[in-house]
Amino acid sequence: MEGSAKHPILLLTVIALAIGCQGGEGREERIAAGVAEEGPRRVAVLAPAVVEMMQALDLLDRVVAIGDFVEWPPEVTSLPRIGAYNMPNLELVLSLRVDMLVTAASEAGREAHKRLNDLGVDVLALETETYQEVLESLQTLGKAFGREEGARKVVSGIREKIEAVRSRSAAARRRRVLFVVGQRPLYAAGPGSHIDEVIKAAGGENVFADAMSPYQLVSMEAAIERLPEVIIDASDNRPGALRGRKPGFWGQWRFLPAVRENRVYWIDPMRLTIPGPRLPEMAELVAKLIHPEIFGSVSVKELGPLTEDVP
Amino acid sequence: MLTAILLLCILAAGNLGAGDVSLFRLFFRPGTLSGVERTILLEVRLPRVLLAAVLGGSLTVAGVVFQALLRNPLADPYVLGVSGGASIGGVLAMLAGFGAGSGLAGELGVTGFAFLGALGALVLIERIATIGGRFTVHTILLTGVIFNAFCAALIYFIQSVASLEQLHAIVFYLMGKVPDEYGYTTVAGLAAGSLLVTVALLAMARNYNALSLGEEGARQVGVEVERTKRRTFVLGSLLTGMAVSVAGLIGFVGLVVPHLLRLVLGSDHRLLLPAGFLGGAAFLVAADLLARMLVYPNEIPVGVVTALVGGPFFLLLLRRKGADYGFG
Repeated sequence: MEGSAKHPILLLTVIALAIGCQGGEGREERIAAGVAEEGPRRVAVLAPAVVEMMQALDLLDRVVAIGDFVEWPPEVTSLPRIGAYNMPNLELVLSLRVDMLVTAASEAGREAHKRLNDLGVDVLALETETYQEVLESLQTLGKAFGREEGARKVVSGIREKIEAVRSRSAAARRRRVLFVVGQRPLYAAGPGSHIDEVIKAAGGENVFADAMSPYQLVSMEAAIERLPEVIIDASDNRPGALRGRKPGFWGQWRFLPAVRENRVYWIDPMRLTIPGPRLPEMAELVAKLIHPEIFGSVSVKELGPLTEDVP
Repeated sequence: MLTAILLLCILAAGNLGAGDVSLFRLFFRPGTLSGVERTILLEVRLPRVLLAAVLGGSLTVAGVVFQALLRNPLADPYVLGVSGGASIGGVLAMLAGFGAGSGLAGELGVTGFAFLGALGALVLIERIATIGGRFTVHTILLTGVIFNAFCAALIYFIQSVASLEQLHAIVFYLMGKVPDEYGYTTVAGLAAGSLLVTVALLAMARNYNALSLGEEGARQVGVEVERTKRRTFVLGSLLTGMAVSVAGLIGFVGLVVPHLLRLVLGSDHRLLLPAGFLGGAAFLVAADLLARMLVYPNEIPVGVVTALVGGPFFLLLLRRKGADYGFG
């Protein structure tokens, strides 16, 4: 037949267009859904901090996929995982029909974010390193999901509780605090981290307030020479790691005030290292460690892994 | 003379650190040192400084003998694959939970496993490269390089499946740092071990000189080439394995210091080997001092210092004397 060669090509072209069009239609539907009153319905959240914020805004049911490092709350841990901070698995994100990806802001992720936008997935990048940024991110999330009122309440709740801790500890003498985020080599929390702010609010003085980054490799000599009065060691995240009010590794230097006065605490990192709606709880916990005479003493359970009965 | 330089470096390193704690005060005004200061000086700083010396010496000696063995100026202690084995051993130990945290047992775990990894690599590479009872320089080099590449890929894979905290520990283990955690007994043990191995290598110094004539040439002057090659590989790898197990991958020392010394002392290995130990020791002590003090109380990984400082310095020296510099 004449033009028989054309038919396969035509057929293929039609098929290709059909597939292409299908994708286009889906996209429009998704974008339309995205601008509805309640915001995106299927959200992928990469950062642990942001998952907790979603929970605080009562939006956890919208979360359909999480990042590799999310371990709290238990309701989401069985959701499909789509990657780490800067490399979400694009195929998975699309196959899960995600409307929006929410992540902690990261330069390295820009390329992936652009690509996602092209494919019809909105991307919301939030800063979550400091107390102020957490509050702002909560408000941004509130706006994106039509929960401004709820966000306002959560934010003022956080503010009230933290300022309450701050004023209760204001009159006490600041104790020198060493906050250990890593051992071998020694990493301490420095200025600019939410941990540093929590320490300040709780009536402590970070011995590494002059470190050059929020999580900094520091000199062991300096850690000792500055004679910390309280040591909060959150370096060990292995199951069965040392927990509680014990000297542990730091006990070898008996002259340290923290060792002498039995103020060395070994704590599950999850309790203190994720900046988010739990900031007030962190402030209260750290305040108990720094000033038990004002805030009461801490139970071993509060130092262990996060569970539902001790948030 | 090098001993003097080494001593000078050790003294300098001993003097500088936290606050006003210094060796100077220890010797001349002992009464003024508080208990805390004494502890910092004697229990934290000095062991670390001495350990840096041992590590620097070991890496440099390994570099010297590998350069002689392979007759290649680009050879460093890590090229023959043992560092890959040590890294895998250490990283696996960290994943299994022997890693960051409290307790001496935990630390011995990672270091011990790393050393086992190094030994394993040593045996494996030697087996693979030996064909018909002997190995050529090319087979051992290729085997080592490929083994290293394999280990690196394996480590990248492990990194991609590790949790965030494990990742942190792994990355910084691999970056190379002189640890604070070891006491005098461990340091003394490591020193004894590396000195013994260095002496054993020194016994083959003339063989290395002869090897610069090529293997045939060396045989003609009576060198037992196969035995020399084998021994060099094993002993050099032991030194490297020990260093990587303890400190991770500290680059540059084993590559640049041998050349620095050759530029100044010539290529006689009877001189180069002991000088290598002393010079390497001084170099790493100085580098670690900078790593500790440049941004005090923050620290920089020592591998960064060795590369950023050692590199340009070496290139400068090469330009000055380079016209006459012939390798081998």
